[in-house]
Amino acid sequence: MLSVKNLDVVYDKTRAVKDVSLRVNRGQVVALLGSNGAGKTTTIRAISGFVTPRAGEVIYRDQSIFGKKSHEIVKAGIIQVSQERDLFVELSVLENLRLGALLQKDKGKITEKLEEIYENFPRLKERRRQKAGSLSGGEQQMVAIGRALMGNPNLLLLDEPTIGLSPIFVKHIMGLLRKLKEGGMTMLLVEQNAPVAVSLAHYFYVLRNGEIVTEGDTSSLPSNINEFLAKYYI
Amino acid sequence: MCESKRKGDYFHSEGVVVNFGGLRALNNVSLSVGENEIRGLIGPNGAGKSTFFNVATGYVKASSGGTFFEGENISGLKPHEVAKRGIIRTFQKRGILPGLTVLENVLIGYHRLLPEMKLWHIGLRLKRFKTLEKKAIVEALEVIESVGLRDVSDQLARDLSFGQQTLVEIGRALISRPKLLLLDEPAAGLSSSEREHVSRLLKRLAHSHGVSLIISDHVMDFVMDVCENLSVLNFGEILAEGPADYIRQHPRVLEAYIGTG
Repeated sequence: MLSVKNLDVVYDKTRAVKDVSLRVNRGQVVALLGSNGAGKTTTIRAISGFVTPRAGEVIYRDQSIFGKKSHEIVKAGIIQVSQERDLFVELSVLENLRLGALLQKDKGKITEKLEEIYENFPRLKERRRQKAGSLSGGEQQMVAIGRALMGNPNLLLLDEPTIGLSPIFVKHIMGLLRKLKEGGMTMLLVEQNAPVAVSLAHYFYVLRNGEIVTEGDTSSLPSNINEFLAKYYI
Repeated sequence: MCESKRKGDYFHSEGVVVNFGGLRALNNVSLSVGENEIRGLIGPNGAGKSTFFNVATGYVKASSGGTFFEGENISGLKPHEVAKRGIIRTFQKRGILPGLTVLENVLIGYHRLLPEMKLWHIGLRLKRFKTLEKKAIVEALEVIESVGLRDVSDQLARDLSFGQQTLVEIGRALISRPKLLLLDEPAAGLSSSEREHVSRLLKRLAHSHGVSLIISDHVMDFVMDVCENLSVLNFGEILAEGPADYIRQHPRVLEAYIGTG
């Protein structure tokens, strides 16, 4: 579904992403792992058009999306949930969710999608009239994911969906992602908490200093993941 | 805790606690750095590394506990008073002045060494002032050379790459002849050759010029190469201390960095 080849992103004079190649197949969950500053966020921002890569190829459903604007990429079906969540804090939960369906003209489908999200996150239904800015971090993350789902993505890019969340919200969010996986959603997941990501993903890549240093099926990983990954993190 | 190589307490903190409202950013942090030692301070995002730097340099007042340097209690001193004692720091968000040249930016760091001078000494450009100015420029150019920026010394800081701006900041810290230098993410944005250069420079500073250093950085290859000992912070507490090989295998450090299931 998505194929990235020899991607290079340069900030200023620094190569933040060096020659990165990765694949995400239809229905697959792929985890992009690595420590702070490894280039994970930059890689997915380059895929979703928020940063312009210097070189490489990004092919999505046999079409090049390299260098395209982010709204064109959303239209193509790739939706990103950013680490900052980027909610409209002055708008209500419902308004934020509806914004995710801006391209959807069929009102019936919007209502159907909303019900689906409320079913997964009943808390959002309870708080649908509340300003997004007044929610807790975990609830805001639910809104951010919900809004992305309102856009009916074919490929969901998730940047650190559990960062800074309490264990109970991590459980909620991971529960939803697991459900999405079972429903066949294709996802590229950036996550610093490797054991959490690996428990969900089919395949993993590890980035270090902007380069992919190892990759493989998550099923091939040893039981002590931390010991295995240590050399790529510290 | 690992029995790492200790060179005696030159700088140390004792039980430092910092509360920001209901959040405890540092919890009972005691850390000792010896003379000529290069100490790494690492930890995941939000672990409290920059807060510790802020406490050590007087930008943030500890809720309890204290900091000591050369046997003197420096807790509660203002940043300029801490700097006067030879504790100099750099910032993660590079505090250089973009409209000034590299040379002018570095010269700012000379301020600490200037004798008291009346404004008319400067206004009238008296001999005393001119001699001092010449001396400062010579020293600044030496420092600029040492950080590898000789070719861009007359360029405006705003026209430099982030990596070069980092080197300017390090240069500005160096010209003030620090006794203890605290570097906040010095390797961020540097190219690998710039990193190697800075790494050699910092080792030389400690081993040939007797400067002690505390380096906080996420670039592990860099920090593990430069630092003799590392202290790992997580959720505001010291998790482990010791040389790189020990830290790399410490299960709780791995958990802090890689996560838990």
